[in-house]
Amino acid sequence: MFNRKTDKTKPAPGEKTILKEIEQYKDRWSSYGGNTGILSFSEKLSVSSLKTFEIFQDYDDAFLAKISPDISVATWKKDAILFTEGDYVDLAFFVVSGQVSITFQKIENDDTPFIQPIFDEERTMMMASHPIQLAQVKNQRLVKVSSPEEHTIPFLASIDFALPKGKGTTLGAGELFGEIGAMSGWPQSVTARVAVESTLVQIRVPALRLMKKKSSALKARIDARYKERSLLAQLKVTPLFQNCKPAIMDRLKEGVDLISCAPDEVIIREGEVSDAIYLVRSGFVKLLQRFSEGEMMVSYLSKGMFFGEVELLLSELSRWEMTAISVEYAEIVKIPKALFCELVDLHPAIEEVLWEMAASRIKEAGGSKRNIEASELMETAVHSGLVQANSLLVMDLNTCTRCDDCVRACAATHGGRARFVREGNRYNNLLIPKSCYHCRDPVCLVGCPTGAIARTGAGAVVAIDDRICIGCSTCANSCPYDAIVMHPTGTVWPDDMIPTGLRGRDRFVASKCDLCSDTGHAPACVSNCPTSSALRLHSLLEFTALIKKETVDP
Amino acid sequence: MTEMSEKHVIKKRESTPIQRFFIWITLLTAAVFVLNIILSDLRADNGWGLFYGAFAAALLLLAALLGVRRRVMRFSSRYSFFKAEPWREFHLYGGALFLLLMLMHSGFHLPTGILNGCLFALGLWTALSGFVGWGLQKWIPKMLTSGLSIEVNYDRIPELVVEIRKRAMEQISVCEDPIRGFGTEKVLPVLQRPTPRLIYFFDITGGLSSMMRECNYLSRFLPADQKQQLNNLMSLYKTKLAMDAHYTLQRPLRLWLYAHLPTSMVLLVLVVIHIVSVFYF
Ligand code: HEM
Ligand code: SF4
Ligand code: SF4
Ligand code: SF4
Repeated sequence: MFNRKTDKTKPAPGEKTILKEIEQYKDRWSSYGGNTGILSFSEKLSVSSLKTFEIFQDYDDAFLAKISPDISVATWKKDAILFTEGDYVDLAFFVVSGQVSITFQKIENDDTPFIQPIFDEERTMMMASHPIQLAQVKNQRLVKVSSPEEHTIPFLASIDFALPKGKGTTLGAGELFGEIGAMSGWPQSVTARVAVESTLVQIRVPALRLMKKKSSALKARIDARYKERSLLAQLKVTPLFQNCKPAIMDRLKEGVDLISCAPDEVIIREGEVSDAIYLVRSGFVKLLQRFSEGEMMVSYLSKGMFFGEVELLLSELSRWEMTAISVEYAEIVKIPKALFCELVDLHPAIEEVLWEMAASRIKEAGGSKRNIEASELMETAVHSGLVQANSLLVMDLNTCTRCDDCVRACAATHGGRARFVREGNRYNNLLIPKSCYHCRDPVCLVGCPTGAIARTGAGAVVAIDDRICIGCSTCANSCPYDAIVMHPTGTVWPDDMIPTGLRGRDRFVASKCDLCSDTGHAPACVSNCPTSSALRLHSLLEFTALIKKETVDP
Repeated sequence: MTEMSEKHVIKKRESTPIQRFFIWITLLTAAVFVLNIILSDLRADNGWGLFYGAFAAALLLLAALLGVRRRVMRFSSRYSFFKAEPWREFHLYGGALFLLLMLMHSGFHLPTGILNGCLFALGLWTALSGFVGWGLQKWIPKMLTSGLSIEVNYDRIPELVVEIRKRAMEQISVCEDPIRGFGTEKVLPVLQRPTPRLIYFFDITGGLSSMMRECNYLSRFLPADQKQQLNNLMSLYKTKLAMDAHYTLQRPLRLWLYAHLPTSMVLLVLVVIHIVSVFYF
């Protein structure tokens, strides 16, 4: 899916081509399934037509009008593929009629060593370099690397369905799927195929988040599905619960709470009564501790990691020792203290593992206070978006001769216009130029009216198709890292342009780093630096190592 | 960090294949040279001398390919082979070896004749300017990075200075004396335009401390809100000085190439003439 054409022949001004292409992609929805398999399609539905679907019945008219642009309805023919394992899908599907079959093929058995998880492992290293934490990311293993070229990025899958390899399941009317991968920004772990001609409501992430927040019934429904389909699979790969008996796991399934956090939401606050242990399901959470006048970041958690274990273990600590805040949208599993104690009684081995985790956490907090610079670095990393980055361009200013060959090479490979500027945040000797990070959760994709900006495939490169970009600046305004620049094309929109509002106006196009993915070469900025000062990093560990003036293979 | 870091991509930089290659070639050349001294005279026109000359010419040609790569890369990096760093390394070591071979070819004597004299002088100049550039490229980035907290693009400095001046004028316009007077007399003239000054080579802060003394003295007599105004003004002043430091120090990084590149091109042409003349006459 998302098989966008790669030839970049630009339509001459006034030509109908762009209109045709916009017609072809008339919405970003139909690009799911590579424009094949859709029999009928409608979008921008009225409130009354939305209300005919069960999933929208709980909502008031004003709310439905607001989310309508993010909803479409499509009838798919038999055997159409909605997504395959490893695909990024930023929407959830609700089955109105028909059947969708879900299968699980690619992930090898549980013992397959993962090749290089991108972030969690590194973060683990930052925390305490404790092997136990590593086990927490076991099931987020690499599932697919499309080619050995440097511009593909290894990635981890979300667990939407806990299915054994080769097995499948069928979903019928009234079922919702795809939401776990969509909301967490991780690739799908299963393949979805339309089993008989089916009508599906397709809901994009922003609408889904709003809907979940607005309706406790939907939240309960999504949560119940998550508990049923994936919770156990996620818990089973954590060191805490990996060897637990089924009875314990069932008890756990019943008793946990699922929490959805918006960015910057306080999950627990230092000094308040501690009452649970938490697992990060998706997103990022930072842990802060009071330190002299202010607060200091001591740790940074991503998917599969726990917090709250220290307070749970040491009975003298009845209050939180840290504050936990979501850095972005995050999904958290809360295991209440009473339930946890019950589980420990049933399976005492849990406590041992917990002690080890607590020891590494305490060490880490102490370490942060001793090494304020490292803590500041982590803070910078979080705020400069490094933790979001799948591919981060950094320049070592100690060796960079300011020759600008990197910028020239980028321009030369991109029609004379460089996709980044050699300016940006600086940390010690490292400059982080304004170049796309190819974020794990690319907020720039949200709201593009034509779907011109997208992840081009499983390699996680976020790219803009300038043939269908209408230059509205939505992506440039959404990107937190100023990685997208709007360029005038020197032409105006033709008189028969749709949307009509654009007719006769100057035509702009959004431009950003595409990791040189169209060139068939490694990133030109890196390979053309004569002093190897320009590097692309894929992990926090590489960043810290660089700060410590070690060198990293680019 | 323990066991995991070894598994990762972090490596201490060891010698590169090109460095090892040149170490071997240099050792071999030295061995040949010793044999030459033992077995024969040190002359340009015997077999040994011709070998040094041909080897030097070949290195010269290969070294000049770096310039070709950089030019080609500017219109399409699709045709730029390999990474840029090995090319640069090859250039540096090859260029240095060229100098050695040129001296061996001339028998460590000043050559006679105008063409040969020019060749010798240009070869020496190109190689030495290359060494100077190499040194500048090592030294200046470190100085800029450790001494200054801002990083700025050389070409953007003039427009950024205009911006700073604009902000300073806005700031001064809302101040009263003595800040107004201090700003107009002491600060604004400095913000006029980018000013390269030699002092940055020795003191990267550009003599900021003496200005700060004056400013602190003034500050003592001001109420809190005016202190803040003065601070704002001084931070603009400091930024401007840092930009001047970048302007001063980044400039030789660009300019030295004008001492290196043209002579290397003339050298190439003269070497061709030299080879043709040796074989024809
Ligand atoms: C032997 C004769 C030499 C020739 C013909 C030569 C020629 C050139 C050329 C054509 C360039 C490219 C300039 C550009 O693209 O803008 C260059 C750059 C340079 N040369 Fe040489 N050069 C020679 C010797 C040397 C030596 C001996 C050194 C020092 C060891 C040296 C150091 C450099 C450096 C540092 C650069 C800049 C490279 C970069 O930053 O990419 N050169 N030289
Ligand atoms: S454009 Fe911005 S938000 Fe989008 S992937 Fe790049 S850095 Fe992230
Ligand atoms: S990876 Fe390619 S497109 Fe991205 S900044 Fe580097 S040269 Fe430009
Ligand atoms: S090519 Fe390398 S040395 Fe030149 S400006 Fe870019 S990062 Fe610096």
